[in-house]
Amino acid sequence: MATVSFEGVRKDFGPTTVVHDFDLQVADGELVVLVGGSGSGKSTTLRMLAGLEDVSAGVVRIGGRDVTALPPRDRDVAMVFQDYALYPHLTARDNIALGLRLRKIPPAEIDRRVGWAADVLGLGALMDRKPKQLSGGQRQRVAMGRAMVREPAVFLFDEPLSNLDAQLRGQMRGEIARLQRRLGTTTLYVTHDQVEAMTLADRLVILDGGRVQQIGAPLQVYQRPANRFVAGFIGTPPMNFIEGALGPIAAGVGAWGIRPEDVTLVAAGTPDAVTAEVALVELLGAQAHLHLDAGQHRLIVVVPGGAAPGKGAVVHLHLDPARVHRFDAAGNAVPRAD
Amino acid sequence: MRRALLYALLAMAAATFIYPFLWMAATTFKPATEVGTLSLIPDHPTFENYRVMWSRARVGRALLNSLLVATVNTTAVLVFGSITAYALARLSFPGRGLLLGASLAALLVPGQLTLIPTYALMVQLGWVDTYAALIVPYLFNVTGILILRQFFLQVPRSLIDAARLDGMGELRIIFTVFWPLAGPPLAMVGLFVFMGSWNEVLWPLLVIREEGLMTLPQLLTVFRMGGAAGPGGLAVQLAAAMVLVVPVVVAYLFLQRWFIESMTGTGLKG
Amino acid sequence: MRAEARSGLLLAGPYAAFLLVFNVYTMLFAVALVFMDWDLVTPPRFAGVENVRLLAVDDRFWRAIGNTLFFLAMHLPVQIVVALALALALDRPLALRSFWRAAFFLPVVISGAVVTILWGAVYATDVGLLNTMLHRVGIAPVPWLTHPDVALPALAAMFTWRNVGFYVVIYLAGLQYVPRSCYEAISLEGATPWQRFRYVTLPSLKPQTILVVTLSTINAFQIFIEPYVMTGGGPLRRTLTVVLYMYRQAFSYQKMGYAATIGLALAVIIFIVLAVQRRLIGKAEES
Repeated sequence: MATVSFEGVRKDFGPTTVVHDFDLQVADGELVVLVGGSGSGKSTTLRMLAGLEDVSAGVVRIGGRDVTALPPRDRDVAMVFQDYALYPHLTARDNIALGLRLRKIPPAEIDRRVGWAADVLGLGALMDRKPKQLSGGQRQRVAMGRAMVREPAVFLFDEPLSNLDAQLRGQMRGEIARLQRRLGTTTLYVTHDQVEAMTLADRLVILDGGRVQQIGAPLQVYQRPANRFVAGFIGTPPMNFIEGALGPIAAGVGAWGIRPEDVTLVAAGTPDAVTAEVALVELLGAQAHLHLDAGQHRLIVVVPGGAAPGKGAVVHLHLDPARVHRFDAAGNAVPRAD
Repeated sequence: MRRALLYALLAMAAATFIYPFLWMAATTFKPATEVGTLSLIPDHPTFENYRVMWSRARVGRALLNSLLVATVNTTAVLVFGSITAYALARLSFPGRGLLLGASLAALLVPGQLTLIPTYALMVQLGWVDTYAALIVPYLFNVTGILILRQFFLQVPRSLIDAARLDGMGELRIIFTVFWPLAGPPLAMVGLFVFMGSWNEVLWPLLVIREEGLMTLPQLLTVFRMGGAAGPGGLAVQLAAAMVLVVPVVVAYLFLQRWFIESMTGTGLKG
Repeated sequence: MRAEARSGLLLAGPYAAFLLVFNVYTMLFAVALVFMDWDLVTPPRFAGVENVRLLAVDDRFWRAIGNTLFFLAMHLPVQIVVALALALALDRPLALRSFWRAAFFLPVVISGAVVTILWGAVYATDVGLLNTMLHRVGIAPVPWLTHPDVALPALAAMFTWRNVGFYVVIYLAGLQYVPRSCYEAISLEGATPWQRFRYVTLPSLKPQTILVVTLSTINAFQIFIEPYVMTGGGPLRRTLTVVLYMYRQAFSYQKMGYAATIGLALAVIIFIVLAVQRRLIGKAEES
C-alpha cells in the first residue's frame, strides 16, 4: 500500500520557518496536487518527501513506514524535475535505464521496463538521442520514463510543465493524467498553475506562506473556498472582491466575493440590477471577459463571446445573492446557510 | 600602405620572440667551430652535442622524473581537486566558509615566505631526495580548486538531486555526472598544473641533491653551472635545453589556445 | 543535511589537512624561525630579535632590494608600453592573428631553466648571439653579463622578453571589452587617434594595467633562477636578488632562521610596494 502521510512536518531554514505544521494523508493511487505561489513551501514539502531536504520536525511516512531519516535512494520514490535533470552525456535510453542499473536490476528486466516505458510514452525513435537533440516535450517524456521504470511507490512531480510553451503544456497535462490513471501509482504533483491543479488533481492542497489554506477535491475547493486566499487563487478569471454594498448585496464585515461567471447581463430596468460601464473587453473566442466600472467598484464578468458589448457600453448586471461568498475579518469564509 | 607597415612591424616583433629558439635549435646541431654563427642551417650538421649531453648527464633519467612528477601531480590535482571543489560547491558542512576563506587567503601568501619552512619540514620528515618531496606539496592546487568549484556551481542542482534519487553516492556523482560536463575546466587546470610542474626549477633545486632523482629543468641548471666552458660546452648545454623545450613547443603549436587560456584565464575568442 | 554534512567533511577533510600543514603551519613556522638560529642539524637556538637587527643593517640585503627596485624601474615601463603596443596592433581583424599572438606568448610557456640557458647563450661574451650580431656590424663585443653596469639591465631585458606575451594577452582581452560606442562617440567629437587612445582606451584598460603592475612587481621580487644561473648574483653583487640571497643564507651558510627572516621581510616589502603603487595609480587617475 503506497500511502503517504505527513505528520506535523515543519521545515526551517535557520531562523525562518518555510513550512509550518504540515499534515496530509494521501491514499494509495491518489493524485494530490500541491499548489500555491512562489515561496509557498510546496516544492520544499515535496523535496522533504523525496529526502532531498531534511525535515526540521515531524514524521513522513510512505506505505506506513517512517522514512523521515532515510536517504532518497531508500525511499522508493521517483521524481520528475522542472528542468528534467537528464544526464547530458547519456542517450535517452541510458538516462532511463541508469537508476535500474545502479540498483543491480538484471539486464533482461531493465530492457523490458525500458521498452515498455518507451512504448507508453511514444519515445521509440528517440531512445538513442542525447538530451540536447530532443525538444522540451520529448525531454520531459524521457524524464517521466526514468521515473516510471523504477516502478516506485510514489511519483513526485516538481512543476514539470513550467518550462514548456502553453500548447505543449495542455497536451502534456493530459498525458500525465492518463498515465497516472493507467499506472495507478500514488502521485504528488507540485505546480503554481491553478489550471493544472484543477484538471489533474483528485485532491488539492493549497499553500500560502508555508501554511495549508485548504485541502479538498477541486470542485469543492472551487465552490466552497475556505478563505479569501483560496477564493482568489482558484478560478480564472479570479473572483471579484467587493468592499461595501453593491446592488442587492449588503456590505459585510470584510470584503465579499462573487465569481465572474456568477454575474449575468440583464436588460435595463430589471429589478436590483447594477449599472456598469464597460472599460475593457477581452475576447477569447467562446468567452469574453468584460472589465466593468460600477461606481467605485471594478468587476470582471464572463459572457459568451458572441454576445459581448463594446467598450464604453452601459450594461446591467444581476448579482445572485446565493452565489456570494462572504468572509470574516480574518479572511476565513463564512459558511452559507445552504 | 599602413597595413604593410603594421605587418612588417609585427613580423619583426614575432621574429624577436621566435628567432632565439630557432638559433638555439640550430646551434645544437653545429660543430664547435660553427657555434656562435648566426646561420640557422649548419654547414656541417652533427649530433655530437647530443651525444655528449647524453653521456655527460643522466638526461633520460631526468626526463623520466619530470614526466613522472608532472603526471602524478596533474592527476592528483584533478582528482583530489574535483572532490574538494564538489564538496565546497555543493555540499553544506560546518566550516565550509572557513575553508573557502582560507583558500583565498592562501593565494595571497607570497611563495618566498613559506619556502624555507616547507624545506625545513621536508628535512624533518626525511623526505629530502625523495619523490615525496616533489609530489606531496603539490597534491592540491588552490587555484585549480577554486576554478573547478566555480564551474561546479553552475551545474544544475536538479541533476544532483536526480542522481541521488537514482541512488548515486557522492564520489559517483563527481566522476560520472560532473566530470563528463567539466571537460574544458579540467583541461585548463590540468594543463597549467602539468606545465607548472614540468617547468618548475626552484623547488627541486632545494629538495633534491641526488642526480638520479633530479627533474630535467633542475638538471639543466646544475649541468650549466658545472658544465664545460667554451663553445662546445655551450652547444651541449643547449642540446639539453632542447630536450626539455621541444615537447612543450610541439604541444604548444597544436594547442596554443589551450595554453594561453589556461595560463591567463581570460576567456579568449579566436 | 546530517548525511550531507558528514560527506562534506569527509570529502573536504584532506584538503583542509593539506592547507593546515602547507599553509598555516608553514606560515607560523616561518614566523617562528625568525626568532631562531638553526642549521637544521643541531638543535635550534633561540635568538630573539637578533635576526631582525642583523637584517636591518645588512648591506647585501638592502643592496638586493635596491637591485630589484632598479630592475623594476627599468623593466616595468618597457613591459607596459611594449605589451600595450602589441595588443593594440593585434586588436583588429588581421591575417594570422593567432600566429602573432602565439609567437609573443611562446616564451611564457617555456621553463625558466631553458630561458636562462638560452639567454646565457645569447649574452655569452665570446660566441653569444648578440655579440655575433654586433660583430657583423663592426661593434666590439659587449660584456653583457660580466660588466657591473650592464648585467642588471641585461637581465631586465631578458625578463621583459620572457613575460611580455602574457601581458599582451591580458591587454588584448581587456581591449575586447572597450565599448565600441565610446570610440564612436569620441570620433564624432573630432578626436585624433591619440586623443581616442588617451581618453577612451587607456582608462578602459586600467584594471589590466593594475594587473600588469601588480604581477610584474611580485614576479620581479621573486626572481631567482636567472641570476642564480647566469651571473651568480654578481658582478659585484649588482644582480643579487633577495630570493637568491635567501637561498644562499639557507643552503650555503645553513642559517635557516636568518633566511626565514629575509623571506618575511621580503613579503612585507612586497606588500608595501604594492600598496604604494595602488596609491600612485589612484593619484594618476585623478589628475
